[in-house]
Amino acid sequence: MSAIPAPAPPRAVTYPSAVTATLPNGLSVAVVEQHHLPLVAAQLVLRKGAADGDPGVAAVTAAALPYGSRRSSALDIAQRCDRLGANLSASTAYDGVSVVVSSLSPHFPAALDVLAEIAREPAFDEAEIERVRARAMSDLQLTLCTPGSLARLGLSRVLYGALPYGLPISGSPETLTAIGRDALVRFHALAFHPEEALLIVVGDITPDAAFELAGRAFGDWPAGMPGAAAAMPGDNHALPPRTVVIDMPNAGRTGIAVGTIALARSSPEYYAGVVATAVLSGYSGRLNTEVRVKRGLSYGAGAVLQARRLPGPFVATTLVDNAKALDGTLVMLDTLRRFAGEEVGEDELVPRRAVVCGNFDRSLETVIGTVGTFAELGLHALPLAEINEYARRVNATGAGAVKRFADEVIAGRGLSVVLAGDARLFYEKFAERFPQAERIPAERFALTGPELTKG
Amino acid sequence: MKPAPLRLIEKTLENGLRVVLVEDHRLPMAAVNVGYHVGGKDDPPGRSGFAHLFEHLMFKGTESGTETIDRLTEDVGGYNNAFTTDDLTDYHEVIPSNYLERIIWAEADRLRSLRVDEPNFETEREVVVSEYDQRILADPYGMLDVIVNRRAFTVHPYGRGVIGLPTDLYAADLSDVRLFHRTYYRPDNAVLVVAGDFEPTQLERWIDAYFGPLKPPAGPIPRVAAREPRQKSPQRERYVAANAPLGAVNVSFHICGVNDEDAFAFDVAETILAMGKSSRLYRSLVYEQRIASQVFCVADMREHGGLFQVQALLQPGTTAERAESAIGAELLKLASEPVGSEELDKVRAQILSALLRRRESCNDLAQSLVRAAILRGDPRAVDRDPAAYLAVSAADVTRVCATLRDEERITVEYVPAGAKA
Repeated sequence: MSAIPAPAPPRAVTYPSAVTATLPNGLSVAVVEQHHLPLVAAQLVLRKGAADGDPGVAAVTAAALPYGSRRSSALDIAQRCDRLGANLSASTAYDGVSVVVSSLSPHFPAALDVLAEIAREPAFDEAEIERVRARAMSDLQLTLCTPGSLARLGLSRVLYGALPYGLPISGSPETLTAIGRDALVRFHALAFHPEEALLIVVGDITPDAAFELAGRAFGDWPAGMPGAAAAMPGDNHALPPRTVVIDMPNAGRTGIAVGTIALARSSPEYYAGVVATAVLSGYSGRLNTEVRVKRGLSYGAGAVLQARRLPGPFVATTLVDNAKALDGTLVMLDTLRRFAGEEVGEDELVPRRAVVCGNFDRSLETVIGTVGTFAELGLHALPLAEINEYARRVNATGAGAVKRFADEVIAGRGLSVVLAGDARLFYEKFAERFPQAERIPAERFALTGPELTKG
Repeated sequence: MKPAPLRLIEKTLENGLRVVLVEDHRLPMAAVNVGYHVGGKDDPPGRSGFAHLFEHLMFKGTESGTETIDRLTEDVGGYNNAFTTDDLTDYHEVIPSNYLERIIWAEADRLRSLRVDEPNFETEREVVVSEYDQRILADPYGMLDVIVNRRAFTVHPYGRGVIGLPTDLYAADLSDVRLFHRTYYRPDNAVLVVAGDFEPTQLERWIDAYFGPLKPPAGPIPRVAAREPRQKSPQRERYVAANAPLGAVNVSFHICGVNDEDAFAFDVAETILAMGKSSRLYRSLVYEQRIASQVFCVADMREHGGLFQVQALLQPGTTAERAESAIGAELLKLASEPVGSEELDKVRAQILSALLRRRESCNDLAQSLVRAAILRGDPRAVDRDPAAYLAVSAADVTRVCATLRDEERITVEYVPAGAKA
């Protein structure tokens, strides 16, 4: 058989661009016209999120939105969506809340009306809130039983303490129980204002038609009183690194999370962070290569850089047999330290940049993916035209910038380590190697409050 | 509304390879799928799980010994994967379009010459056994599907399930691997689908150059002859699950296969029952009665027959009997009262939206085309589907639901170990 064919030169790409307008009440509207299929998606982005309310309040508020408005019951809303073949959902991040709908283009006007109705006039009916809270509670219980998830929550607590990014978006079992209708009404009043919101529409619709629909659905949304942004000290790297073991008796595996506070989405060094994280992540990334491929310690290992308004965390994770918890931790730390110790060669950077650009391209295949990609920029108040800059900035990130990120963030700030697993099977050896380690029984681990322990 | 027909380019090479191409130049990427008409039901006797094990071995290298599919995809910003069902095996890669020729070459290369030796055979078998551990044993509800199929298919190999048994996997050796590759991995048993950014004449030239020289072996491809006899009495099994937090119940009925003309009506029934928060089972079991935390319905139609499955995850304190009777009431209603026109319009909109959403990403579209080409003999079935669903009438739904009879029912009650009997 012939030799492997060489690649052709890459094709130049023009990414979709948005046409924008602002309604008289201050609502920004951005429209991306794409007629590939008769589908349209819309996302309403509010720039107040979990970090701007008590733990769990933003998440319960968002989750409750589709369950009834002042005009329609929960069932009416469900029926209207299903009749339109529309998918409607709401989600919560630390920095914002989003409501998304997608439908066939002929049904889009009616689907956008449903979105506007639940966003502007939620009923927050007591019985529906109870259902939402019960669902949130069972999801949270499952999270707390899952070693990887608990390790990540633990790391956020260690990095940010009781600051908003340290507390789970879902809240804790205690805070969830205490969330009542009043809290939802207050958060809704704080977050849902046209002046602080952005509506993005993507798909089979012209900008003029989309602006007209937006005006009809949101034009009489009264401007409100913008609230202050979440309190977060300018320098939130102040907390010293810690090593914590959350003991989950009988856990099947140990979750390991290693990380530090990195940088804000708006930082000029953000793209260096993205490329650096890609060198460490993915199947062929360094963490997986060391942890899985070379040593078979886990099914996978990787890292993420959380894009946030204020400096978000860099977090590397893996999941190992309890008995391998020390080995896993040492390999993770060693891989991160060696990464920061020397410059990454261009032969390694080329494929990792390609991974980042490939993931980005694939996010633009669907109307829902495209609306989400634009929403991410809008949430952080970045210019929407940055969509056409993304690949260029990634590809312009050289070894020097990656090294700077590795030096300053990964090596320079001290890495915290959190393990969640059956500590009986590894703690003794672990504490010999990490004498500073703190062992906390899972039932005493506090998801909120100034201390890591409760009771 | 009617979606525009897909602009498919279809051809069959002299060696029998079917080729389906569909252009989409929105983004500089392409999805390549190679589907083989072989799946779990074709596992050799005493070798359950073999087709799936074999799928893993297809990533272990070829005689040309160059870079693996993993490197050829991930290192350029793409990805790859594969899956095995009862009836087919699909391999796919999504890559930047300037790397397309390479992937066409690489797929032809592994169809032509698979190189598996003892060490990587054994390593991969361990990976598959750990997949069994993870999916069947560690997943609290992993055994449910296994039991449903075992009880439903006593003669047909669908009863063995795709994942099979670890003991059968350990019984397999390299001679099984070579024989399986020779028997089923031949151009006349495969469909190549490419969706995305390419220039058709150029792509056809690559396909001719790399796949064209492959010769199909002489002789027919063996096909499963067994057919499941009609079930004469209801089947029931109670399974105590060590690690399930809550109970579950699965109620299934034997129905037609994927090529039967009633397939569309069963899909419509599935949608009426369980798609969206206004669906009948969700409203009744989850929202109003709070018997279940989740409810699923699937018209699971395969090449040689199917199962209409309803499954509920029970709320704490609910009995399986209560859930079964609520499910039974909804099924009976659907079999005896015609669906109103408003509800029928609703499910038509839901189905049409779902069909269109499946055309958005190149790889989703390519997979729909692979399934249609292999299981329904024609990739253009994807184009006919919207009209076929719109043609399903209220009377059709009532008629097919009336065939869900008690004697053809399989019930599996899944009980958490801690619960009282």
